[in-house]
Amino acid sequence: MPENDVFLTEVIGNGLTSVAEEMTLTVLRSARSPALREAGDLSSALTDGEGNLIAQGKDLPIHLGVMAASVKALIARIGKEALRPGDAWIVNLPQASGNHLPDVKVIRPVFHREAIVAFGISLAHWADIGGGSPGSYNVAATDLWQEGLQIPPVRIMRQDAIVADVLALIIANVRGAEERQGDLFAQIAAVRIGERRILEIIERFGAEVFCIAMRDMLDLSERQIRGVIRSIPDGSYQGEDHLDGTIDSGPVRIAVDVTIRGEEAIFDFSRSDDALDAPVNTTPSVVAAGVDYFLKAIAGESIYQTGATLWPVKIITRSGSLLDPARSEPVVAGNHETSNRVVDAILNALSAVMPERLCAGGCGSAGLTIFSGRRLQGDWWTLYETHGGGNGANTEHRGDSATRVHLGNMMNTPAEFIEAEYPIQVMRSAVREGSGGAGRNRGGDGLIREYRVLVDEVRFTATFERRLTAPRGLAGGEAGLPFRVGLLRDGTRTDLPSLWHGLLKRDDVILVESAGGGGYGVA
Amino acid sequence: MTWRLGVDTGGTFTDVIAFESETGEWRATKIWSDAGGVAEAINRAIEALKIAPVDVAAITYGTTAITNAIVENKLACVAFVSTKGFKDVLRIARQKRDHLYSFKAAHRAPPPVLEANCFEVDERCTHEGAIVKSVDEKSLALLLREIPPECEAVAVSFLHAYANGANEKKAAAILGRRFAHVSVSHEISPEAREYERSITTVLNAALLPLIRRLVSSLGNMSVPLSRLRFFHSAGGLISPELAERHPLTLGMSGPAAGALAASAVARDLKIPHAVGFDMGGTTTDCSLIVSGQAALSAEIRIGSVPIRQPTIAVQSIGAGGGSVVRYTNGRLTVGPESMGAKPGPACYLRGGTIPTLTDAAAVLGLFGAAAGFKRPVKVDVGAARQAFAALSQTLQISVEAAALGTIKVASASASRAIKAVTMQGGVDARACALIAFGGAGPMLAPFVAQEIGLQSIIVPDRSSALSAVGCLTADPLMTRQWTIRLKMAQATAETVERIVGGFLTSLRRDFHLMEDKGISAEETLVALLRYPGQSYEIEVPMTLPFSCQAVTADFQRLHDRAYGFTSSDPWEFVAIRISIKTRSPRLATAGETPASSGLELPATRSCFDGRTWIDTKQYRRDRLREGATILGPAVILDEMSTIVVPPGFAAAADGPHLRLHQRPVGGGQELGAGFGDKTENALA
Repeated sequence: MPENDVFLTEVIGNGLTSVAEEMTLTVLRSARSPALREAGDLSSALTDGEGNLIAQGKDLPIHLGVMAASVKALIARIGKEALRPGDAWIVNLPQASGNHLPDVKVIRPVFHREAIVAFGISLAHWADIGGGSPGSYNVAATDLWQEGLQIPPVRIMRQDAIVADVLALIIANVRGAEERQGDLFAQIAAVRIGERRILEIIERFGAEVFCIAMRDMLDLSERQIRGVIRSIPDGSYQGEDHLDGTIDSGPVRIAVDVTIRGEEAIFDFSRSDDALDAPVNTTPSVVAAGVDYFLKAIAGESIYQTGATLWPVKIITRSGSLLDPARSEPVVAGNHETSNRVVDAILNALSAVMPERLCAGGCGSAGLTIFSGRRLQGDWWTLYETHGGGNGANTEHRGDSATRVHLGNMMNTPAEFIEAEYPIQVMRSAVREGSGGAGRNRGGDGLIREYRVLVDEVRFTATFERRLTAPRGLAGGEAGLPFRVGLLRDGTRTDLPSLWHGLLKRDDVILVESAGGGGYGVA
Repeated sequence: MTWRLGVDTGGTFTDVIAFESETGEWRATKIWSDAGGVAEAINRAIEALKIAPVDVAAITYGTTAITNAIVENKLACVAFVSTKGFKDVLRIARQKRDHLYSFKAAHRAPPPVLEANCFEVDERCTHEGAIVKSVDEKSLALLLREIPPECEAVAVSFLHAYANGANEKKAAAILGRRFAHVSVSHEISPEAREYERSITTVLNAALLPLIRRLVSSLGNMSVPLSRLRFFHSAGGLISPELAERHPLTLGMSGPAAGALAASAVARDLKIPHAVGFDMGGTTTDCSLIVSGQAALSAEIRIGSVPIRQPTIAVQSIGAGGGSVVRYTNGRLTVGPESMGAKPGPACYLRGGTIPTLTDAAAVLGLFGAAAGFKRPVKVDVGAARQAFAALSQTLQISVEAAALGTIKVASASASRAIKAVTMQGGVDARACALIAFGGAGPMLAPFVAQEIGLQSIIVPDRSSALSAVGCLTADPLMTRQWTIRLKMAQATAETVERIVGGFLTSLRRDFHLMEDKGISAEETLVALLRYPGQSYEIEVPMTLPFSCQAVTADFQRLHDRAYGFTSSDPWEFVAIRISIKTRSPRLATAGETPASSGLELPATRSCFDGRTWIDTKQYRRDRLREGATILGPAVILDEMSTIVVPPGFAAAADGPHLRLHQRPVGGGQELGAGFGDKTENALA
C-alpha cells in the first residue's frame, strides 16, 4: 500500500474529529429532552469499516469507550453483507457490546461505491426506555427485563426512510413519546450528517488515501500507547475499590491485577466480587472503556483518540462476576458507578509505583436523582439530573470542585429550566465547603443541591455511590467526605441508601451532598 | 472638508483610515498601539493624515481592549450578589470539565470573581415573574458594609430576573449608594439559564471601570468625544454613553469590524454566501456572510467563558502567521503558541529561530521577491529554511515538503473553524466565496479553499486594514434579545404584538439617546422558535403584524434545512431579537484608474507541491486594471501582503477587489428531504 505523509494524516484526522463534533452539535441542538440538550448526555464517534474507533467528539469517555464496540457487535451479529446504503441501525442491548439500556446507539454504515468505508455512531441517553420505573432507573430490578425495552440491532432506517413499524414498536414501549421520537430523529440526523461529511472527505482525497489515513491513525496511536505502557515500570500491581452494594449485600469489591511487561499490559479483574441481583453489574465493554480511559489519561491529550489504544492490552473479566454477569442481570447503574470504580481500582494498583502521574480519588458517581410524576393526560414527566462532585488532587493542583470526574462529563440542568418545566423548586445550589480531603494539595469540594417538591405526589429515585467508601487520598493525602442524599420531611432528615425509590409529598426536600475528592501528599 | 475616520486598535498596530465624502478621497496610516494612550495615538494619526481636527465629522473606534482584558483576566475586582442559595453559581458553572483525558490538568479555570466576594440575598421570583419574596432593604444595607473595599464594581444576578427585574432594580438602587459601577442581569442579558446570565453580568461589571477610564481618556482627543462611536460586537455603532453602561457589547469589537467589512464586500459583489477569513499574526477569525449580512450568534465564547449576547458569529482559532510549528509525539501542530512580533518568525530576522507558518510560506517562495518593489518588512528565505532544517531532518523529507505540510496542517485547522461557522448558519462551506484579509489571509486562502473545496476567493481592497474599513462603513445599530416563552397556542397576534411592542419601545428609547429622534430607523425582528423540549432555537425572521401561519411555515422550512427533519408538533416562542439601525452615508470610491504600466515585475521561483520549483510571475496589485486576467502560478504584491495564485487558479480585478477562481472539482449535495414527515402515521 502506498504511504501517506504525516501531514495528510493530521489533515484527515482533524477533518474526522470535526465531523464527530458536528454530529454532537446536531443532537444537542435538535434533541428534545433536557438530559440531552441541557446536560449533554450524548456522544458521537466514527469508526473505520471494521468498527475500529478513529475519531470522537469531546463527549463522555464512558460512551466513547463503548461505541465502537457496538459497531463490531453489529458486524458480528448481522454480517457486513446484510448492511445497505441508506441504512441506520438502532441498538441498546448490553450484551451486544453495550453498556445499559437507556444509552441508545444509532449506527450508520457509510458506503463508498460498493464497500463500507466507515461507520457513524450517535449515542444518546434516553430519559426513559420503559421498564418498572419512570426514568428507567429501576433500583429494585432483579433482572434486565425489568430495566426496560431491549433493542437488539434492528434497522430504524432503510433507504433513507424511517422504518415506521419499528419506530412505532419502540415508541409504544417508552414513556414520553414526543420527546423520545424527537431525540431519535436528532440522532438519525447526526449520523446522516456524519455520512455526508465523510463522503466529502473521501471526495477530496480519494477513498484509498482516506483508508490509509485511518490505518495510519490507528498505527500511530498504538505506537503512542505502547510508549506509554513502556514508561510504567514492569511488574504486577494489585488494586481495589468498593461499591456500596445493596442493603443486603453490603460493600462489594472491584479488584484488578495489573501486569506490565515491556510494551504490553494485562488488566485482570477476576478477583472482583460476584454479580448481584441489583442494577450495579456492568458489562466487559464498560470495563474495557475504563481501561481505555485510564491509558488515554496517562498518555495525555496529544495522542490520537482511536480504538488502537487497547491493542497492546489484554483485559480479563471473570464470567459470573459483577463485571461479566449473566445476560439476565440488571446493569443500569453499573454504567456510571461500577465503571468509575474500575478506574479507581486501577489508580489504586499503580498508586505506589507512580503517584506523581495519577490523581487522588474523585467523587466518581453520577449522583443521579430522578423526579417524576403523572401529567394530566396520563403520560409522565421526568426530571433526570446528575450531580458532580470533588475531583482528586494531584501533585501539581488541588482537585477541582463541583465537577465531573473520569468517565462522566455531563452538564447540570439550570435551576431556571427545572423550575420552569417541572413542579420542583431548587432551593440551593452550592459548593460543599470543606468536603475535599486534606493534603499538600486539597481534594476538590463536592456539591450541595436542595430540591423542594411542589405537588402532592412525586416518584423519586436516587442512584449514587461513595456513601460508604469515600474517595481516597493519594501519597499521604486524606480521603474526601462521602456522598449523602437526605430526605427532609416534617422537620426530620432520613439518609437514603445508594439505590432508593419512593414517593415524595408536597414540601418534601431532597438534599444532595456529593462526595469531596481525596487530597494529595501529606498536609 | 468633512472627514470620517475608522480606527482599529489591535495588539501591535492601530490602523486608521480616513474618507472624505465630497471628493471621495481615502487616506490611511498605521501607528504603534502602545505609544502614550489611545487619544494621543488618534491625535497623532490625525496629524499624520494631515487632517484638521475641526474637519473630522465622525470617528468610529474598533478595539480589542475588552477582548484582551477578558482573555488575559485583567478585570476589575467585582462583587457578585445572587439569590439566597446560589452564590456559588459561577464556581459550579455547568459542572463539565475541559480536559477529558488527564489526571494532571487543572480541569477548570477559576471564575472571574473571588469566592470571598460572592454574596447572597434572601429574595425570590418565579419563572413567570411573580415576586415570591421581595428584597429586604435592611439586609442589603448590611451587605453593603460587608463588600470588601477592593471591589470596584458589583454584579447583581437573581434567579428568574429575566422574567421580572424588580428585585434587581431595588438591590441596584441600594448598592448604588456606595458603588458607581453596578450591572444587573435583567438589563445585561435578559435570558433564562442562571450561570450564563450571571457570568455575562459579572464580566460586564468587571469591565465598567476599564471602559470608563477608556472613555474619559478619549476626552483628550483633538476631536470632541461626541463625534466618536464605538464599534460593537453585533456589528454596529454605539455612543460612548451606552458603551459605558454595556462594555461587554464591545467584547468582539475588532473581529466583528472585519466581518462587517467583509459583508460590505459581499454586498458590493453580490455574493450570496461568503466566509470572512481574517488571518493575522496570532489568530484567525472566521465569519459567515449570508445575503450580504454577517451572521449573528446568540452566544459566543471568549476564552472559556460563555457570553450570552447577540454577537457577530466569529470562530477564532489560535493559528496565524507567527504560529509555531512543532512536531511532538508523532504529530505536527501549528499554533496556538505564537512568536508574535518579537522575536517573530525567523525570516523577519528579529531574533526568531523557531519555524512558524510565515517561515513555511517564505521557504516556498510565496512572498515573492522583486527588486524595485519596496516593502516595509523584509523576508529572508535563508533564515526560514534554516528554521525548518531540524524538522525536515526528523521527518527525513525536504525542507520544501516540511513547509508545504505545515501550510496544509494550518489550512486544515482554519477549515475546521470555517466549517463550524458555516454549519451553525446552515450553509455548505463549499458554496461560499472566501473573503481573505488580514496580513496572512490572502497568502493562505488558496490552500484553505482547496482544503474545503470552495471555488472562489475575494481579496478585498485594502485587505490588510479591512477592520478599520469596517469601522468606517458601519451603521449606528443596536441589537438586544429577550426571553418570551410563549407556547404556540398562546402566541396570538394580540399577545405577541403587545409583548414585542414593549421591547421595541425600550430599545427605541435607548437608541434615540444616541441618534436624533427625527432620523428614520430600520427595525429587524427575529423570533427564536423551537419544538417543546429543544433548547436551541431556530431563528425565524418576523414582521409585525404577527402572522402565526407565516412564522410556522418558515420555522418548519428552516428546521428542515438545519437538521434534515421537521414535524407537525407545535412550536414554542422562546425569545426575540430586535435590531434597530439607521444608515450611515454610503462611501463612494473615487474611480481612480490604475496606471497601466509596470504591472508585471520580473518573475520569481516558487514551490507549490513541496517538490518542484517553477517559474512564477509577479505583479503589482496597485497597477492591476479591471479586465486583465492573471493565470497561476503567480504572486501579486501589495505593500503589506502577498496574494498567492497557485497553478490551476486565475485572478482578475473585480472593481477595487481581486477575485481568484479555482478549477471546479465536483459539487455538493443537499441532505435528503425531511424524513420526519414519513413517520407521522406511525404514531397515530
